[in-house]
Amino acid sequence: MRSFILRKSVYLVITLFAIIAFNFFLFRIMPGDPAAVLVPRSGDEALKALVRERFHLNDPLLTQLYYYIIQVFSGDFGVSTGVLKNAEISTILGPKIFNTVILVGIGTALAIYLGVLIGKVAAWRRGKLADTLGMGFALVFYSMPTFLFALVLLMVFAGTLGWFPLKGATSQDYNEFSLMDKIGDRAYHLVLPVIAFTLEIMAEFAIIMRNSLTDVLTEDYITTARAKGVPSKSILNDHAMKNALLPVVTVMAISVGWVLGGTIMVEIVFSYDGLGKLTWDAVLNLDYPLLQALFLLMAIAVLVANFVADIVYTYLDPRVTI
Amino acid sequence: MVQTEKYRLMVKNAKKTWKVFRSNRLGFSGFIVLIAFAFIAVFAPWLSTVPQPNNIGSMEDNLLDLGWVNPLPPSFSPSPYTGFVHPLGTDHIGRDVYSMTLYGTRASLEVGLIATLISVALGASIGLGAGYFGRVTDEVLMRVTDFFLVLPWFPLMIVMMSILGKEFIWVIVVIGITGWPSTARIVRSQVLTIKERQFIERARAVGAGDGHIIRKHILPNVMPLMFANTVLLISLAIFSEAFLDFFGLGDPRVISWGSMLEAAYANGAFDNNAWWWISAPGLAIVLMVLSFSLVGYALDDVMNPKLRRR
Repeated sequence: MRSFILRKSVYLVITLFAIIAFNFFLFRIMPGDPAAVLVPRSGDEALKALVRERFHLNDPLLTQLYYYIIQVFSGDFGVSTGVLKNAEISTILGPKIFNTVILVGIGTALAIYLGVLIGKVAAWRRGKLADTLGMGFALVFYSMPTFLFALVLLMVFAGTLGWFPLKGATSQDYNEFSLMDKIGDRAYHLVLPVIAFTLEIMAEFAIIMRNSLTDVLTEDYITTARAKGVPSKSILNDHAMKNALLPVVTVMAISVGWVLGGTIMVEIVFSYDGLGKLTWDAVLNLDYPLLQALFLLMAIAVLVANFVADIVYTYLDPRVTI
Repeated sequence: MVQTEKYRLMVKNAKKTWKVFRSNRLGFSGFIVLIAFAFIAVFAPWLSTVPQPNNIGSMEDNLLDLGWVNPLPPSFSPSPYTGFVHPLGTDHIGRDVYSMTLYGTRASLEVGLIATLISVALGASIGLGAGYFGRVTDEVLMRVTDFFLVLPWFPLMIVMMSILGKEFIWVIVVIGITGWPSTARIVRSQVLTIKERQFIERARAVGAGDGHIIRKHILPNVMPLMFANTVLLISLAIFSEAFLDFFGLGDPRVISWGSMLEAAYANGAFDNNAWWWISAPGLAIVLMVLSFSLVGYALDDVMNPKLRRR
């Protein structure tokens, strides 16, 4: 067990360096002089030289990579060139990460709960009405682009009916609110984005849960349990679910990348002020340093999530360490 | 003689597979819808009411005195300006929504099929190499696969598109090279079990080389499992294309459902209830992705006999 975690940790560190290097080279394949991108059009040659000096652009590529790695580990992501001119990127990120974590946290928890529930009911009543309805529901949302569903929600509930705010993560005078009002205001702004986000990623969990549980329910030990006279409720909850949840955990880990895609779309449509919308602003403003920092942040988030899932998995299924 | 016997067996197998596939009602209806989409893509110029919806000459002008203002709701009377009929109305610059939706089928299918072809070719060769040659090759290739598996591919696509530029070909390439890791994993695990079987050993004993064994023995056995995954990858590719287009990272010269929705969103269709402008491309995306998913799951059922008995 311990050697397994150790091995996984070594891989984690290697992959981390690979991601940093990949992120560095990804932004070097674009044509042109990096200094020209960092300095506004009107910028003079002296300014460009200064930028070259600060980002070590005159050195060979590998030396630049070395400096980049050092910068990343000291939390220095450089300076934003488009979204917030000349602001340190590390100071921009803080509040956005907070907003995104709230949205993703609530949404993912709800999606896992609902997805597992729907998949469980569908598998248990395979071929019955509940199965058809549950899977139909899941498949439609699985096939619906997140942005489209989010837009329809926005149009109906925020636009036509006016029940919820049209945009933003908080109201404009948020900073003058009392603590309770602040929480209420956030919750009010979160309703629609969370619904859009949850339904979209729930579908995949429901489908996997159903498939995995139907598989387990055909196994011999379930027949044995039935023959012993174990009540059906107990067969489902105590015997089948434990094994059926294993593939679901794997899929959850892999789908973290998918989850991030979902937040980007939801945040853009609802103008929710998080990392996804910031990514979008960076793309629109061709703010490459900011984009680079954001991509690194998201890649590391996925990496860590996978690492945690691996560890959790070994507790659920001790066979994998052998 | 041997050839005809082989051919007869192949036909028999195909017939059996087809029968199982047909008995899966959802998968079969998805298949029918896909055939309809393919038909639309091929015959779009004959089925549409406006031959080249993106041409300036095919666009409607705003004719206030005649009661013609873009976007125009669905109407079956010919327009006073160009003489075209617009059964699903027009968009903000007077392009026919019905014809654009038909032409959009082409972009979606092209991206879906070609991008998936890239993914599968990459994934299959990496998976084959890793599984067949084992040892260091396996270790290195699988570490690379794991690396690409953890890269968040949505942000990766955004970043790559904004670096490479808005060309249709880049949309295909970017979607293609972000989708291969899952195929590589599936192929590798299948190769690992196949290469231990006796018939591989026999083939090697009579002097077959690596290339021959991979082509003649391993690949045919990996194919069925890959097939279902491939169909699911297509739906993901179509999804990604719609996403990139919707956020303005696609090629603006190509008519696609994603860019139609983008134009609708940017020009206030969602605020002004211009439902005809949104629902046609929106439903088309959902229907196509759903059909590919249904066919994919059905194929999974057919190709995996273990699942069939439940």
